[in-house]
Amino acid sequence: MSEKEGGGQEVSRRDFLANAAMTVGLVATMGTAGVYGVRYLVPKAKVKKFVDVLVTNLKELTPGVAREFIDATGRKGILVNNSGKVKAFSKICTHLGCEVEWHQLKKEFYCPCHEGFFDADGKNIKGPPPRPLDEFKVTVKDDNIYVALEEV
Amino acid sequence: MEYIKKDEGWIDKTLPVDWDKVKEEAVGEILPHHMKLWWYCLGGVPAIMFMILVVTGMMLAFHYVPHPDMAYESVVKITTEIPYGWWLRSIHRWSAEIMIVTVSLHAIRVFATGAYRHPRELCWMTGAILLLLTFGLGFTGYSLVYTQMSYWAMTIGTGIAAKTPFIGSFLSRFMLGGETIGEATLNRFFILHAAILPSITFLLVFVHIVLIRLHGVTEHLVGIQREVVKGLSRGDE
Repeated sequence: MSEKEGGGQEVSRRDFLANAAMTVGLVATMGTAGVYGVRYLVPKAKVKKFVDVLVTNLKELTPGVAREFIDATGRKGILVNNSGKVKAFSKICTHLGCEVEWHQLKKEFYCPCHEGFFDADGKNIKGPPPRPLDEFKVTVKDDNIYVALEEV
Repeated sequence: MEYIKKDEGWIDKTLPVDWDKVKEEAVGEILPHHMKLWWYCLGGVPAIMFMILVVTGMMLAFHYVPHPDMAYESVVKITTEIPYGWWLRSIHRWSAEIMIVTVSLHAIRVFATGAYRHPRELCWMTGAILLLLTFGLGFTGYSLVYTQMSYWAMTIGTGIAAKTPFIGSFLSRFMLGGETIGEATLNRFFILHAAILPSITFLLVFVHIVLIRLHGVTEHLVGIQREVVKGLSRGDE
C-alpha cells in the first residue's frame, strides 16, 4: 500500500480484490458457524405429533396372532390380538434393547438375550427388564386397526 | 510516540494500542528461506486445531452429561437430535485427529532437523509436555463418549497407569476415583478433558510460542541459503 501526500491511502486493485475476497470468505464461514452455533445452543421446542396409521385389520389379526410393524423412524413395534384385546408395543426390550418376540401359546413376550418375559399387557414379569414395554395407542374402527405413530 | 498524533477517536483514547505494531509483530516476522517448505510449518496446525477444539468443545459441553447412564445417550442426542450437533461433534473429532497427527509430525520434524539444539532447550521441553498433554486430551476425550470401545480403552489406559513403578496404584486410583470404572471416573475424565488439561495446554502453547518468537526460527542445519522471506506479507514494499 502506498500513502498519498494528502494523508489518505490509495488501495491498489490487487489489494482491494484480495481484501474483498478475504472478507467475503470470513463473513461466510464465521456467519455459517455463528448461525449453526446459535441453533445448536437454542434447540427448537419440538412437539411430538402422532398420526393414526392403518396397520392391519381384525380378519388378519385373529386372536392370539401378533404382527410386526415399523414406524417412519425405523423403530419396530408389535401388534397383538390377545383374545379380542388389541394392543401395540415397542419391540425393544427395556433391559438392553434386544427385540422381544410374541409367544403365542404362553401369551407372553420373550426377550432371548437375557431371558426377559413380559405378559400380554407388556408388563415385565420375569428376568432383568426394569419396566414394562413401551406402548402405542391403538384404535379399532370398522375392523381396521390403526396405531398412533410419531410423525417425522 | 507517533500514533498519538493521529486523529484520535474514542476507541484510540480508551484503548491506546498501536495496531500497526501489533500487526507487524503478529505477521511481519522475518523468516529464513527454508520456512517456505510446508513441513517446517507443522507446528501452527495443532495450534489452530487447539483453538477450534476449545470452541467446539465448549459448545459440546452444553449438551454432554458426564454420568455413566447418560453419557452415551447425550452423545447420541447431540449427534442425532440437536440441530447441527453432528456438525460440531464432527469438527471436534476430526480436529482432534488432525491435531494428534500434526503434533506428532511436528515433533518428528523438530527432532530430525535438530531444531531443539541450544539455546532452544526450553522450547523442546514445553513441546514435549504439550505432546503428552495432547495424547492425554485425546485419551480422556475418547473415553467420554462411553461406548464399548471407550470403556475398554479406559480400562486399558488406567491399567497401563497402574503398572507404573512405585506410584502405579496411586495413579490408577486417582484416574478411576475408586477401584473400578464408575460415576467418579467419568466425572474425573470430564474435568480433566474439559478444564484442567486444556488450561495447562493453553498456558504452555503461549509459553512455547513466546519462546519461538524470542529465539526466532532455527537456522537450517545444512542449508547454506541465507536468503530471507518476509512472513505472510506480500512483499510489495
